[in-house]
Amino acid sequence: MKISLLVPCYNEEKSVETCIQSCLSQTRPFDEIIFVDDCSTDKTPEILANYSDLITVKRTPKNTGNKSSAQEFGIRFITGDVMVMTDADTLLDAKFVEEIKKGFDDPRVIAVAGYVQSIPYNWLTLCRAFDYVVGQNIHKVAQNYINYIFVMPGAASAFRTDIFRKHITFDHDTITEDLDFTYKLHRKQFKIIYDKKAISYTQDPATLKNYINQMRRWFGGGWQNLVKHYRIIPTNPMRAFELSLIYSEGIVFSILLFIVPVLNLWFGLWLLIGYFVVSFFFSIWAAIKEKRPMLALAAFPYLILLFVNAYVYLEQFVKEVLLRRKNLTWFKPERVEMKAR
Amino acid sequence: MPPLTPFLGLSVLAHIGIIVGHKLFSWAWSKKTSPSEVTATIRIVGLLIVATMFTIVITVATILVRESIVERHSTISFISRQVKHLLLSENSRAEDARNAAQISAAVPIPIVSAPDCARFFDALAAFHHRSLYDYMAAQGYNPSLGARRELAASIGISGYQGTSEQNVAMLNYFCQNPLP
Repeated sequence: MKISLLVPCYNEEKSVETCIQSCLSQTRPFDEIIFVDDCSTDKTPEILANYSDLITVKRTPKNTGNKSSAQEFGIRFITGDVMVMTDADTLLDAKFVEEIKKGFDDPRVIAVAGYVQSIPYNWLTLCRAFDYVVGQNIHKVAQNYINYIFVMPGAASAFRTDIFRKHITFDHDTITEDLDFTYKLHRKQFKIIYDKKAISYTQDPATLKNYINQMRRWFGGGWQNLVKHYRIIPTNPMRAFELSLIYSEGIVFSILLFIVPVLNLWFGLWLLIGYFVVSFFFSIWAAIKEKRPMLALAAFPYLILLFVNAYVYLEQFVKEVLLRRKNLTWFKPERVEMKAR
Repeated sequence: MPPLTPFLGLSVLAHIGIIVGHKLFSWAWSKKTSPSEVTATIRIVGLLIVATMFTIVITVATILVRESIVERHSTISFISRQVKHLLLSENSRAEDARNAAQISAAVPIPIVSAPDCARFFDALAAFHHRSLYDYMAAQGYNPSLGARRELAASIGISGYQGTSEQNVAMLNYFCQNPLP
């Protein structure tokens, strides 16, 4: 089985070298590594050129402005049976390829979703790490059992190349291409599995402004994809269960979060305290699970981000679903320098 | 990789339920992949599931909203209490004024010296912490003179005219037998 890697990058001078090194340090090496430089204006091309004997570098004719266009450009050069997609701000665990390969040993498996960890930086990345732990150790594990993986993470996903080329088109009409790919695979009822041992480490926004922008992209993209693919919801009972639960809970409780304190401040405070207690238990569990003690404190800032997330969720619902103001502007957070351990 | 929803809520609970169910009944868990053909039955089941999930979420939300409205600290309850208190006070003051005018025409007002009154009401306030008027209003009763007269008659104080002695007697009675 030939395994290829596709990494689009644009102005990633702070992280791309560490990313390349992690891709080259696999226990089961990639058979092909392709970096697509989307006409970077910083030192990214020079860094990529330093590794030109180990990786293939392709440069887009002009800056495409978003990740999915760079991926679309790069996929034509892929020759492997399996194609791994990751980001230039992401590090792959040394056993990533080895684990991904195990998933594809089952011929029914069309795609494998990996496990994403947030690289520690500050309180925002701590909250994001907490989200990842809950999302990937509860939601995704359950979704794996019911054969409905909601989203393939952009930082750690692998596909059978021939199936991807045949069934997935780059429409560029949503802002979360990874979710769009996943819906398209589900439309064909393909089997997607989740492998917790295929680990990648990604960089998350370190400032509140970047965090909010990323949430806007994620939640906005979620609504865009729901509007685009809503017809497939009832075509599979598990999909119907997951999507109706996720979206009805999200919208109804986001509204309640702001309405209940107005109706009854006292009651709202008690609910918030109750929510904090639940979050605190989960954060302790997350700290034990990830062997990262700081995660036990995530419940405190997470309470503030609860309101931010709920506000952004409603804002994007109004913009994308009610007003149909489709935002397709790509958001690229500011990077911090990464060093591999 | 976006979080599913902004909350650790029903979806977490449902997914924990699935994980526990899988652990307990893994021997019965279907390993089959989804059928590639979408039949009308599957669509109907799918739509029913969507309707059920929405109903569950809306029901939980409705219970929360209802509880937050009927709970005694609710904003609506607070505003209605204030409005009711305000209306009662205005009505009873107007009625008191009318009754006082009638009484003054019929009964000679006993002359009490100002220092005695002050001492009496200070002692009354220190002992009872409130007047009969305030006590009745706080309990949601109309504290007007007419209403007090009816209440006095119901507890055996006849010929109630709103004198301090009668009010103290009534307050003492209500200390032992509070108004419902």
